[in-house]
Amino acid sequence: MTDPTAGGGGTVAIELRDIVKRFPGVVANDGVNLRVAHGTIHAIVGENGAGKSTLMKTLYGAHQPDEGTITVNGVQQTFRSPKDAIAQGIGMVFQHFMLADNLTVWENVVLGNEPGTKFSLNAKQARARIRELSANYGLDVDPDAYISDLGVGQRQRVEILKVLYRGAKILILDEPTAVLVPQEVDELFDSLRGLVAQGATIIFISHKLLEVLSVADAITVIRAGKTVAEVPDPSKVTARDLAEMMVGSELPTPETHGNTIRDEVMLRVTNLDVAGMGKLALQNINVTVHAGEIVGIAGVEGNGQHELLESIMGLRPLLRGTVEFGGVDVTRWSTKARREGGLGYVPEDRQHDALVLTFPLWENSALGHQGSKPFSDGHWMDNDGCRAFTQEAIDTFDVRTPGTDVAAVALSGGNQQKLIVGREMLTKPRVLIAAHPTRGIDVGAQAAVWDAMRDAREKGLGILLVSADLEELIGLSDRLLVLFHGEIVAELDPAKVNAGELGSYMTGARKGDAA
Amino acid sequence: MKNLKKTLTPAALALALAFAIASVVLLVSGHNPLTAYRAMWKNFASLDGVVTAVNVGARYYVSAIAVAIALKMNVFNIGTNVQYQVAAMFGAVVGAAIDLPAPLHVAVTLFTAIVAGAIWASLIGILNVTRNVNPVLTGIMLNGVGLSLISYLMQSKWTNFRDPNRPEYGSTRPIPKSGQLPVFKIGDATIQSYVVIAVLVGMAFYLIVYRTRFGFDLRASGGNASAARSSGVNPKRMMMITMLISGACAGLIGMGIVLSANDQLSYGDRFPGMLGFTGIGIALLGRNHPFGVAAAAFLWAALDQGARGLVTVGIPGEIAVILQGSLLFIAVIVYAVWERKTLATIIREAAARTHAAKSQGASA
Repeated sequence: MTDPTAGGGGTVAIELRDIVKRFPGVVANDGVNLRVAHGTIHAIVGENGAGKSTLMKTLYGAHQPDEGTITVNGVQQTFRSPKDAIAQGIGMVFQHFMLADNLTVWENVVLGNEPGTKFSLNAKQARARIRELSANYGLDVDPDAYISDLGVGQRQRVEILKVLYRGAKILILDEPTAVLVPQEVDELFDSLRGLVAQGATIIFISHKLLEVLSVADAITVIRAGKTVAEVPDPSKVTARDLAEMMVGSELPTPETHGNTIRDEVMLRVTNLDVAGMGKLALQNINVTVHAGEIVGIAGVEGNGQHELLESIMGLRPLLRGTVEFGGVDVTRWSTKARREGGLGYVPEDRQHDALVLTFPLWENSALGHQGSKPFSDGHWMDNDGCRAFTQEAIDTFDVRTPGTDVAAVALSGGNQQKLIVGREMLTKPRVLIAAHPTRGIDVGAQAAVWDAMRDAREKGLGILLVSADLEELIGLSDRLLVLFHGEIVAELDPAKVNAGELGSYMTGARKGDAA
Repeated sequence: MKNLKKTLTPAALALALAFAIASVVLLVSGHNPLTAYRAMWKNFASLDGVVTAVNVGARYYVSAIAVAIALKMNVFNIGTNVQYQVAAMFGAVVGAAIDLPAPLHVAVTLFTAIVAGAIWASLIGILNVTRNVNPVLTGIMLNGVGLSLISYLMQSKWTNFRDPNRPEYGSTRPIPKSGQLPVFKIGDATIQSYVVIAVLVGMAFYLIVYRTRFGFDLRASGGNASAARSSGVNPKRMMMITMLISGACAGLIGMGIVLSANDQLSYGDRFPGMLGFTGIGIALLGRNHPFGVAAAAFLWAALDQGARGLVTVGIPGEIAVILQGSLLFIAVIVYAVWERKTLATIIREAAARTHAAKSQGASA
């Protein structure tokens, strides 16, 4: 290898100095410094909104910093576009995969960068190059497999291959573990170590501190747009130390105390079958939620959670089975009747299912409750009532907004989520169907949401909780059900299970009733 | 006031650009734009000119509101153009056939038109709800079907809709005195009381859309159909009700012509056939808002009125059509650009104020 950028550790691959990036009214990066040594895994940690993504966009050329310099392998660079960055060997692996399901691995990898002439595609060359890259970097992917047949972990490796194929030696990974179960995380980390051993440099963005500590060679902590700490030797710090650097205060934990479960069954799903694409999306599902109980649904995304939630809300036709709510069979009820009967709903995809982005906040806080007080008298909307309620939700759940009249689109994702959770909690449901209630919200607000759920549970609310955050599931739930390929494969006692074990149930590696 | 400025600026901008385009067309075709505009203004700026524009504007307004209410839930009722003609024909036939005391006579006639419009529009809703057919496709096809239906019913001996005393008009029998909407003299000009109906339609639109639960569901469905469904809105029911209301409103579009003493007092060959399509343009121009649409409808009618003055200076009246067409075209572009800019501003301001609140909170 004669490539000078492929050298070993020690020399500096990337140096960002005093990066300032302003958006009108906000300074997203306010003097960030970063030094990444060659052949290392360098983690950047910080809360949501701390400025990690802005910094990474600067680094791969999506926008230019207002101040500060970027130095790559000792040469100062100006990136006008991601093209300039990739020319310097910097590539970005995004959190959300951008792959065409109906194409094969090699087709996806070469897409936009095809070998061959204008009129013919040299598939042989492409396959050979991908095999070579896979072998060199220890990424086990079959170039001829279709993306639709691959699991999440393998899809991520394809994303990494895409970047490597374009000649990247410095890889930026944005929250790569967010979509993975623990076993897949371990595999990813093995791949990353393999990449580094082959001379690549990795910048790893995350807010999962234990993962960061297990894989990073060095850590930079960002808070409120500034570099607050450099940790050259992660073995000398604990997760708690890092958390304190990130937040500047103590971390909350999602733990429920005591047993508040009552005898009354609030929600009962019996023998539920739901149709899916070519096979059953849900098969013989039985779920019971008592008053004062939180039942957690664990599962890798796409194993039937979405269908289960929609079935309970009356948004999806059932092939078989019944849904009972407070002892009443509501299988044939409309969504409207169910909601008016006291079924609260925090959908998985907030922008798609829970908000009208063009509506102001005060109208959004009526959504799902528009037929009842304080939002309306059933026929006429009560705009003042809506506004007063919205203000209460804003105050209680710390929604950061200039006011109640702002369109929902203007709020950050976390603040939108806080408004939705506030809306569903403050309308005092009898049963709450909550999917990822704290997804994307900051630590302080996360604690407020957990507190609200705990309080409501003590007062007798039954909660069905779907979450990808295993810590949250284990901490909050009274009982855990694991969904795998549309079936409940295990019922677990959260007090006796850890994230690793839960993960093995979720991937189908373990089965059976452990509770 | 700030809001008003924000609303009027893009409209004024679009209007100015449309006049610029028309001026270029005039210059290229060898006419002096100033002469043309002066002639248009002269024909409009008189009592009679303004009152005529108000009378015609009222039809345009009702037509645009019929479209706007469906557009609030993102459904394009392109079928209004024939819904109103079917409605006007049945209204005219019933109005001429019955004999009742004046207020009741008018009410029954209007009710007939409303029901006919709603039924014709409901076909679009039914096909969409039961067979999932695209409402724009059905709307366009039902326009063709509706016109054929009208010519069949108007010519059939069996229905006997035609007035045998006036075969040259090919129209229904005239509406008797008790069935007419009153007209009022202002100087030389005659204002139709149909204008009051248009105002009532506008007020009803405002109340329904912005103050009722139904209006909330309607706008939520338009803003995000999936979120509306999750919130308990039944999309099929919503589609049906919206088409019925839109069609009912469309049923009123032509009734000023059918029922006003200074107008046709019947449905026939001279009945205008494009009021629905004009209404679509006006709804777009007025951004589906009751006040915006009112302004747009009056402006459109004023341009119509002005166009009649062009002949006096030897300029083809089509220049007004060019003006209206480019106005609509530019308005759509300007609104889209403006909206994007406004949205960016809103997001920026929200971020800035949030940020300010944050740092304040931190120091407190």
